[in-house]
Amino acid sequence: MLYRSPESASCAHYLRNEVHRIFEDLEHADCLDEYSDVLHGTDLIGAFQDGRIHEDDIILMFSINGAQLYAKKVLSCWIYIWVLLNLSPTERYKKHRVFVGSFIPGPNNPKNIDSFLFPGLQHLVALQKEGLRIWDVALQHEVDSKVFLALITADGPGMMHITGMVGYHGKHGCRLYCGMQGCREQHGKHYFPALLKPLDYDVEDCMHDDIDVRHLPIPSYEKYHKNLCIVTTSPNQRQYRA
Amino acid sequence: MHLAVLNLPDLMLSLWRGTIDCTRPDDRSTWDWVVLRGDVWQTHGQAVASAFYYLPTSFNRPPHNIVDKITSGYKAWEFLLYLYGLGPGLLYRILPQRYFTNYCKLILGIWLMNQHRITQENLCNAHLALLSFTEEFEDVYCQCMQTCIHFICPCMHLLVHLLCEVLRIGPPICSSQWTLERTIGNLGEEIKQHLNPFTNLSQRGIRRAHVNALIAIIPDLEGNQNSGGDLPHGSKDIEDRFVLLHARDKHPECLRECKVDALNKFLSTSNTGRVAVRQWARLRIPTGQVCYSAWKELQRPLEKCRTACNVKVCQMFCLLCSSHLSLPYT
Repeated sequence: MLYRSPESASCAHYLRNEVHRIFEDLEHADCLDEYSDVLHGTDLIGAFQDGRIHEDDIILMFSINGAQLYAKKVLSCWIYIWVLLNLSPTERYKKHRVFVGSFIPGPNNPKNIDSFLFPGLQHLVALQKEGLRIWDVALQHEVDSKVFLALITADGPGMMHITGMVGYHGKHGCRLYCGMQGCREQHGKHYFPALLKPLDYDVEDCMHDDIDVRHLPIPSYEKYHKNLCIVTTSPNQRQYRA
Repeated sequence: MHLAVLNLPDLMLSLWRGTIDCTRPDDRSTWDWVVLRGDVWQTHGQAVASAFYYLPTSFNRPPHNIVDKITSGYKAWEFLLYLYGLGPGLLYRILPQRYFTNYCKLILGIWLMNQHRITQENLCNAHLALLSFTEEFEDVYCQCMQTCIHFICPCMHLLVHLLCEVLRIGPPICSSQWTLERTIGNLGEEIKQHLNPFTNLSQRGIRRAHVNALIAIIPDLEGNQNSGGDLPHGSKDIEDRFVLLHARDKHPECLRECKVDALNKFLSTSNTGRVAVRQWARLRIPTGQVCYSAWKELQRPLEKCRTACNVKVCQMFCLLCSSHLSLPYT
């Protein structure tokens, strides 16, 4: 649809032009002077350099959240949308450019959110595998486009559902998986990301020293895989804890 | 979005108002940062409400009286303007110095991080400010007490990560939840049948998808909607991205001789004889903001105006307008 009219097709060429500009800039300098788009982050620049994304591809951002439909009634409905990162930042977040993905009706929060996301994601995977041939009016030739899912965004509790991690009150509560340990109160179940160890503090499994905020642990795939193995190989809660 | 405009305001306000949980043997009366209480809190709320008329319309929704509305739907945008816009002015000398300094570091960091374009220099400053804020926060509020550990909300930890996240995926605004929250708002107001809201909502979504599909097949269906560009009806484009907007005088009015002289003097021109001038009420400037002229604005009561600043138009600019014989008095 975007590529049907010359105006909107040239809108969608923002990605192509911007990527060229970024690479030209990067030839002269180590890093960019200014960050004004997702494309300027190392994640997407890296993906372009590795050839995981091509300039004709369609890059998507996925965003999900639970919506409280009425102020005075507990009726939560989950909604997710797709945002097209091929468009310029001034254009892509507008109402007519946002694609509604799906609704997950309430009134309760979805228990297994993956099952609800499956149809949408399967559609995406199909496009990734088979590619999407598009007639580009502005270029006047056919392009072979793949779909690339660049970002998954949600708020704190939403992210917990998506990633399956512990959530913000957990011991390793950081949603970015940095793994910093939290501290809890004597009889509390919630952990808080305190940097300094409290005085006269004696709570089991929170006895680590002060944390230097300048040297936080760095998230890594290896650590995630290692932890994932522990989870999948534990038949029950008790063994997992051990 | 949630971090800066919902979680942090919530935390800071619950500290300053003393509404955050207090674990024994800690005692609220020893908290010297609890300043927004009783009369001070009431006056503070009124000060927020009185700022309403002095925030320009380009700032969107100005904050309501925070005392009345804090528990009943205070919008994220209101929190944003309140905590990072009005706060530093209104809390100066109310909040004890060490807490105020700490708060200012937060503001600096968030201001820089909330920009649409973040330079390398901005990033360094923001990161230093935020690191210093988080470290100092534990120092001044928690004082390493076990009972105060719950002041350190999970959101405090995320501030530390902001720098890396900008380097990795660009400015936070690009990947923030504002878009989705707005979409939810848009869809929510489309619900027509409250008996079965979920079905109704998904039908609205399906209808959108249908319309999209139809437009994809037959692009002409959408065709004429945008033919007028983004200029409103009755406006006049005076080039250089300046646009005059309604209201305006129906007919150009002849000026008296003394007025013609004054106008000539002001514009350094030498028009003689009959000079007719048409007044316009509003002018859109290249930033997208709209200026209002005193002509119409003075007729409204103060409660209906949103005055940010009063300016007198400069000569160069008048020359531009005078060629159209229409002079917006600002």
